[in-house]
Order: sequence, then structure tokens, then C-alpha cells
Amino acid sequence: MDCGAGVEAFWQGLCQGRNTIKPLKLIGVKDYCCQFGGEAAGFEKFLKEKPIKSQGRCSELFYHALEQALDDANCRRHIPKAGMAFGTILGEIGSGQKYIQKLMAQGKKDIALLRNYSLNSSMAYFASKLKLSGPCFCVNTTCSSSGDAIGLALREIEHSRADIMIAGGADMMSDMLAVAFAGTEAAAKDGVVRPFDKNRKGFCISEGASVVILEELNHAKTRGAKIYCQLSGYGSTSDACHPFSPDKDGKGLSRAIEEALKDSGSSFDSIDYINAHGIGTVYNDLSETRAIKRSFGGHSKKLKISSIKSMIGHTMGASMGLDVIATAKTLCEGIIPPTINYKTPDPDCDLDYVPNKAIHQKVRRAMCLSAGLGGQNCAIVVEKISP
Amino acid sequence: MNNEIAITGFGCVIGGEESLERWLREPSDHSPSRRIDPAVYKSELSFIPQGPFELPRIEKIVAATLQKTLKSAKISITDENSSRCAILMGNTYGSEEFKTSSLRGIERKEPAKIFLVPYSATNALAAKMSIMFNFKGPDITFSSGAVSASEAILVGSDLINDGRADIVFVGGINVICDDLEEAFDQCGFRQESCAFVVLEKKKSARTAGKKIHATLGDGRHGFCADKDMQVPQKIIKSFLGRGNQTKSRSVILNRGNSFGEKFSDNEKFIKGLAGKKNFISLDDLLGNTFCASGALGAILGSLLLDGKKAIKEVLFVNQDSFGSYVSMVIRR
Repeated sequence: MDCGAGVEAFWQGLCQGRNTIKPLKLIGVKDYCCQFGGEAAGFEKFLKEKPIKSQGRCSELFYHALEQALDDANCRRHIPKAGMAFGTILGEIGSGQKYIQKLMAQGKKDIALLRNYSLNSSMAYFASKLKLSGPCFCVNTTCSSSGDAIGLALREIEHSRADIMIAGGADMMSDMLAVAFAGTEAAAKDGVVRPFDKNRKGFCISEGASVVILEELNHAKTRGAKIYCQLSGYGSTSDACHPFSPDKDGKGLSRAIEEALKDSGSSFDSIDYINAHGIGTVYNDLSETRAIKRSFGGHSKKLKISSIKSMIGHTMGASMGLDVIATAKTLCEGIIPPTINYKTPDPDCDLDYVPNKAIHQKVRRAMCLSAGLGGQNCAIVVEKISP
Repeated sequence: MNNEIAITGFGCVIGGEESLERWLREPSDHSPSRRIDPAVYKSELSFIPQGPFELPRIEKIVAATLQKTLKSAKISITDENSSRCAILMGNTYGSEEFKTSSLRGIERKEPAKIFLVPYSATNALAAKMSIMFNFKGPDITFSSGAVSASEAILVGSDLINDGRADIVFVGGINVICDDLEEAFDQCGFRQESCAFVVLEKKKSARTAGKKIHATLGDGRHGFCADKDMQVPQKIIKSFLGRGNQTKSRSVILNRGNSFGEKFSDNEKFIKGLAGKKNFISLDDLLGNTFCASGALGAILGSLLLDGKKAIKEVLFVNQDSFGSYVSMVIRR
């Protein structure tokens, strides 16, 4: 996973409150863009052993996560009704950049690069490699992309169109990503992400990949699969408010929370923990806090809320999938990862954000939230499975 | 997908032709132009207030198409129904002109442009349309290549069947930009186009006295990387077998002959199965409309059912060159 190869390294880092934001090395346009971010490391050895041809870094990241997930789920044999839901924002943007470089330098339009640049190329490459025959699609809802991919994968299983869905997302570090946020006030130029803190200054861009294996419960039980948790609810809404800023009252996200609760058949007071979007911008964190208060009322004061983006940055299309993985680990291990860099409470963000240190607490049911650029909101409910 | 989903309206814009109906009525009469001129849709765009910045071309195209679609379905979005309205859109390369010009800017080491952020992601268009039209339900962009809008239709039908939305606008956009144009030509003639259909519960539409153009049933999607395209061909054989038994006139509408021999051979095979009279190639008719093709196929299917040729049902099969396919039955 992001900034650490493998789920265990990722999880240990979260439990220790390890900051993985560093000066960026992979981008070439340093003069006028974000200088800090999260770059994946430690998966090169894996790629040396299992190289993939003709694909770029986004696919390499996804491949590493995919292989781990398939091994962990003991899911290597051919499954007739298996599909893939893949979320990404910029996909193989590196191929797009190479295409334009070649075009500008040599006047050559390279169709192979163009095909790689297509947002669904990573998904299609692995669907083909795994000989999948179930539903395979690619989703883009900015920051919520892998969350919506997971939610829509859930629906594929509910509608009996698939027994198993490989769901998640990936995005790579790129000049385009760095430049995209350079001109905005959303980037933490000092490289410190301080979600919900009074002095928060924005987020840091990161790269990563997340994959979860979703399976119909009885199908999983029958084949003796290890079950981490149950994915029980999904809600998706739009703010319809502003292309850059979230709805200041959090109404859109609140509706997504309520949709997900309704879908899971659970009451608001049964939620113990929220893995927040917690991006670290002034408006997003305020809007998210208001959304939580709006939906959970007095129970919001009892909730534990934390943002793993304080440690790993914003992994774009992979981010909500990583939130789901971290939350599944929370349910299994009884540890809630912290929101690091939290020093000064903000009177407007006055909930329990699990500041700076992980806590041990049993969690029965939890929620992951995401509020994407453009106003797309996503909420997912996960819960402990009854023995 | 069950049989309860109705198509209650649609709208499309295609380069060089304002009306798909006219194009179909007089196919030899149309003069295709791969580019769409948004100036043609001045009246559809008159609802947008004048701001300090002119809307980008791609946004004008999508907004004009949605405006036509709303009018066709006789729908007003109000504060009461907005949270039950969703937009699901197919768009794989995003706003190509913005993305490629941004990439050129990076190569030239030009400072970042503030407007790059909302346009660099493919879902930016659907998000802008949600704001413009006040759609507060799910707002999801499918970037699955040519089948993107067909995926949107399947998921849109689920939203209604599951009671998560009442009105779903599903569609897609295909625009061309200079930097990518010639390379895309190798994937067949790409035709700029944008199309949307409105999905509603059949029962609700009937109660409201709305015109139901067609209903959707038997939707399937999957992945088929094999060179013989066995799975989509199996679906077609099964459909034709059923059609022959009921002696209804069933038509196959296929999209996906634009990328290489494998696809054109597949289309020839399907045509052989269906018979010339009962086969239509969407790509032959309109050119490769890529991410808009799923919605254009649904519209074309509805128009065929509305026509005088006693067609009872249409099987629309959409295939992407990477391997994803979507099939759906469109019924009278």
C-alpha cells in the first residue's frame, strides 16, 4: 500500500502515527508546484520478481496491491463470476505525459501510449490477465473513486451478477497531479497535514493503490475464506453546490451518511468510529464536522473520528479504499489510528479526532467518509462479522 | 435489471446533425462533421446566466444535451425532487483539450492554471452538470472506454430498482481534440457526440401520464478478452433463439467494429446470425461515438421501437476494445 509495501507495514505505520510525507522526488516540475507528498516505496523488489510489461506506474502500484489481496483472500483459482471495479482520477497519466512529450519532440502520435493513457487501461490489463468474466468497470468520482468502486462492487454482488468482486483504486505521483493543486489553496505547502486542527493549511498529494476482495458472505464461508468484516452499507450523493468547495453546511455528505446507514439497516448510534475524509483544508474539515453533527446529533460527541491522511497524505483514487482497509483492521485489532499533527483545537471542529496517538478500543461498526472535489460524497459502513 | 425501468426522454447532439431522428430517417442526407459547434445550441444554453468567463466548449455541449433531455422527458428539477435525481455519465479521456493543453504546459514549464483543477478529472463534467441542473443524488462517472454510458445505464437502472433514485440521467460524451485526433483515427472514425436518456420507474412514469419510449430489461455486463468474443456471441445466440420461438421481430444493434480485425470479424459473425434485415451496426451508422455510444444505442433502440417496422425488441450489445461488454434488451 501507500508509503509502505504491504498491508501490515501500512497498518503498523498508522498505529505508530508515522508521518510518511517527504520532499517529492518523482516529479520534474518542482519550480512551481507542491514540494511535499507521499511516494510509494518498497515495492520495487516485488516488481523485479513479477514484472509487468507495457503498463505504467499506476498499474505497477495496483498490481502490488492486487497480488497481496488475492494471496490474502486465497483467491488464485479461476472464479467464474468474478469482476473488477477500479477507481482512479488520472490513471496512467504518465503515459499521457510521454505521449505529449513524443508529440512535441518528434511530431509522432504514439497509439500504444494513448491506449495506456485511457483511464480503464489498468483495470482492463489485470482483468485480462486474471481471465475475469464478470463485470469489470472503471469509476471516477475524484477523491471518492475507490469508495464508489467498492460501493458499486457491493451492488454487483447484491444483484447476483458476481460472486466475487476485486475492488479498489490507484493513482500515481505525476507532474500533472502536482501542478493541478499548485495553483490552489488546498495544498499544505509546508508538508504538514493537520486535519481538524485550527491551523490546518491543506493536504499533501500522495500515490498509492488499494484493493479489497468482496465476496458474498455464504460464498466466502463455504470456501473457508478469511473474513475481515462485513461491508454493509453504501451511500453516494452530490453537493450540487460548487466546483471547488464543499457545501459549507455538510448537507450533501450528511445525506450520503444517512443513505449508507439506511442501506446497512443500522441506527446512527450503533456507529463507534468514523474514518474521516479529513483532508486538512479549512473548508473540508469544517464541512465534514458539520455533516457528522447533522447526521449523528448528540452521538457525534461519543464518536471516535480520525484521518489517516494526516500520516499518508491524499492518495487520490486509492484513498477511500485505503480508508476501508484501515477500518477493517481497526475492527479486527481493536485499535483506532490517530490524527497526527493535531496541536490546536478548532472551536468549530469540536469532536474527538483521536489526536496524535492511536487508541485501543473495540469497534463494532464503523463508517468511512469521502467528499470529493466537485461535490461527490461517499459513505461506507463496515462492521464486525458475528462468529 | 428487471422490466420496470422506462426510458421517458432523451436528447443527443452529434457533429453535423441536430436530430438523430432525421439522421435515421434520411441516412444518406446527413453531412457528418466530426466536430460539434455549440453555437448551434444557443437556445438550449440560454438558461445559463452570463458570467465573467465563457463556459468551455465541452460543458456547453453537455449542458445543451441535458437541456434537450429534460425538455424531452418534461422534467423540472425542484428542491423537492433534486435529491432523488442522479447523473451517471460515461467519459474516459475527460476534457481532452484541457488535459492535453495542461500536459503541453508542463512540458513548457508554464505556471499552473487555476482552472486546471476542476477540468483535469473526468468526473468534473458530471459534477458541473450536477451544480448547473441541481442533481443531488449520486453523481458518478464511468471511464470504461466505449461501454462507459452502457455501464451507466445498467447502474442507473439499479439505482431506480433499489429505490435509491427516482430520476436518473444516464449518458456520455465523446469529444475530439487536435493532439489525440489522428491517433484515435486508428480506432475508427470518431464522431463527436453527446447523448443522455432519462430512466424512471415504469409504474411512476405511467401514473404521471408520461410518454414511455421503451423499457429496459435483461441487462448484463462482463469482460471478454478472448479473441473469438464467445461470451457476447453466446448472449446474441440466446436472444435470437428466444426471439425465433416467440416469432417476434428482434433486432440486434451492435457497437464495436471500430478497432481492428477482431472486432469487425465479430460484427460480421453477429450480422450472419441475425440476418442482414435484423442487424444494425451503430458504428457504421454514426461513426465511433465512443463514450456516448451507450446512450446513443439506447436512443436508437427506442426510436426503432417507435417506428413503423413492427420491431418488438432490440438487443443492444456494446463492446470496448479492451474487453468490457454490456448488453441490454430494449423493449416496446
